[in-house]
Amino acid sequence: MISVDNVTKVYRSGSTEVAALRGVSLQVEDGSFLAIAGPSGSGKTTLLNLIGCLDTASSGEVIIGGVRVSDSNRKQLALFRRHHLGFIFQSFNLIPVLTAYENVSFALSLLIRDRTRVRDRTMAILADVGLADMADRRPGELSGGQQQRVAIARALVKGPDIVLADEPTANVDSETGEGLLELMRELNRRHSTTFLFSTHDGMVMDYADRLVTLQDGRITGDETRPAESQSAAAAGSG
Amino acid sequence: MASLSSRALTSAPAASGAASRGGGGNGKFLLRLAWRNLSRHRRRTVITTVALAVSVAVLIFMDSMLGGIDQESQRNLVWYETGSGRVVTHAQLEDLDQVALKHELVDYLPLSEALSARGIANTPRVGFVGELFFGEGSLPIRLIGIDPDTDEDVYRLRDSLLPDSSYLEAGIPGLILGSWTTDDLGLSLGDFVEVRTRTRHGAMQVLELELVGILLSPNPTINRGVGYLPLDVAQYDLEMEGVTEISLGALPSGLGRPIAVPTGAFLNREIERLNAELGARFPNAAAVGWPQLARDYLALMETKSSSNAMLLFLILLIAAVGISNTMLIAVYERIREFGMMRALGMDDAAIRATMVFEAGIIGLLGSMAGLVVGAAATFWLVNWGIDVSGLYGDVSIGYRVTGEFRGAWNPGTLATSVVFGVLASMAIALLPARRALRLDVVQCLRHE
Ligand SMILES: Nc1ncnc2c1ncn2[C@@H]1O[C@H](COP(=O)(O)OP(=O)(O)OP(=O)(O)O)[C@@H](O)[C@H]1O
Ligand SMILES: [Mg+2]
Repeated sequence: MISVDNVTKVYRSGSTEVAALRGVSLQVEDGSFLAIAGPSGSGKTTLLNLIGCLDTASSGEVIIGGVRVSDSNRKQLALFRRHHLGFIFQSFNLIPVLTAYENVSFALSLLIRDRTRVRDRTMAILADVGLADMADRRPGELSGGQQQRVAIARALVKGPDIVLADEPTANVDSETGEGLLELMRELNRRHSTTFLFSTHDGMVMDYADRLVTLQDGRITGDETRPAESQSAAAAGSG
Repeated sequence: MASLSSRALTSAPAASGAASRGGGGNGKFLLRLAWRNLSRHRRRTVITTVALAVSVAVLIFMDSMLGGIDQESQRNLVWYETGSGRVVTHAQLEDLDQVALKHELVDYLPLSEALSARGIANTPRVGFVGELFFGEGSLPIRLIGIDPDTDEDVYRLRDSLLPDSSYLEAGIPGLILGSWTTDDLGLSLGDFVEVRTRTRHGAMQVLELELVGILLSPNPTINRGVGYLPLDVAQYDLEMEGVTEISLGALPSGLGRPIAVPTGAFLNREIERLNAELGARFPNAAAVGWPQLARDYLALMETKSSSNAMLLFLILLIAAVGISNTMLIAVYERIREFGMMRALGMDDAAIRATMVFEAGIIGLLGSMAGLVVGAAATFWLVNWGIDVSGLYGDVSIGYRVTGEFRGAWNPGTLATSVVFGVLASMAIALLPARRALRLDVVQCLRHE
């Protein structure tokens, strides 16, 4: 359970202040597949960063699993992210000099020392994202969609409770994006991992089982969609 | 939400304690990542490595060269100017800078015998100053009366004579001059010159001497302003019975071979022992080691070696700037990647380690390459030497070296330059890494 309680976030740069979030409250159930939509600058990334323990709120509370994020220091937050959170970035952020396999296994080896376990789990997750036979390729030898699959594998390999994805499909074409969404939803269902992603893309929103709309730092819409309509949307756009 | 326990936020989870202690990534992985990172910009890596290699090679070579010059210079000082030491009167010992005839060692023959009996090569000399006249020209000159029979046991004047020269003979008023002096005055073999000086008792005296030999020695200080004449001629003309000094040659070491250029503790001990033994029989005489006879030279060498150290430091500084620049760029272009790694929970120490390892690998490759090249160049310098006679012409710059000299091995420099190359490179990487890690994770991720 993620609980965001009346959170504001103010960025100060010099004398100017930008209120990126103005009193946002949100409860997210475990296993959700939640999209945050909204125009550019509405605060989507800011909200994901707060939930992802990458940043702290100016006021209000972010509580994950009953624990206040603001009570933890930098080291504890890093440890928490390592064990419980997965990240998928818009621009993939793979390490170009490592193979797909190494990009994934390094995230797991932050937690697990046992080399055989690391290898088995890495190969299993690469198979899940459909890249088992490309494990030895470097990011430069993969398409954008394939690179993002590696990133998805990297986020999921340690079996996190929550995966945060900031515009995961923005850098790939819509067909590829749809494939990625299918994959993420499948993984969401299979592992009951909570997925939170931000997007501009209507197609992405259609996949979500809950759609939160942000505008100017405030939540202006919160829509839960029945499972049938999602399948219909997926079928319709596919 | 059982897995999101409060324990996870407030302390390291017990179940994965081992991994947490690892600081986010095992050393082998970090090392491999650092190694791979070198391939991101091959050219930059190669240029930085080569720059370091060149610096290390130049450092090793220069050090060998300077060490070689020092060694050679010291040897030439002893072989042509001072001997390994001298026996003089106590009064002369008080004022070593002012050689004076009044500080006369009268009983020099038994003294010399006593030294020979101890296995120490030695030769008597008389040192004085005068004015040399030839034609219209004249110049002040230091004159040394030498014993043609024994001088070669200590000094190497005879080896330095130019072709057609002859050596001095007892009783014949001949003169040997350095070639720079004869060039200055336009003198040639067979010319007669006049030397004006004062005798032991202060009376004016004029010596008429025939130029029998011209020498060109590896020690530039005796190539100009110094003349040699037979000891007995000098003694007669200066109204002396004795000499001003007995020069000492190689000192017996107990190791089978006498030591030609004794230094340090060994020299001090030998001189002390000599003084203790001579003291009883010759209360007037005192032995002194060559470093005390060459204090000006040693002071000069000290200044030179500190300016040489400065030069070597500058060479390393250039390499350091190169590495620093490379690591700065490498860190800067990877800030977003750092953000990703930190978001994934890798800790700062591990990220810093990748940069430090990367610089360390450049440091190791560069210094090893530099070591190989530098050692090869040093090997050549030690075994074949180089000729610097064209470099300074007939000007003395303080070093007692002209012509050819050889390098010296200095294992300390070889080891230090590699260790320093690696450690300094690693230290240099710390700065930009630390600066990048001062940004928070979000700033890193937003970095373009
Ligand atoms: N580090 C920062 N410093 C200053 N202002 C910031 C910073 N990060 C975000 N902002 C501002 O906060 C507001 C919200 O930004 P945010 O990145 O959360 O929007 P977004 O919804 O993710 O936009 P986009 O769709 O373009 O990614 C914007 O006005 C942005 O300019
Ligand atoms: Mg954004």
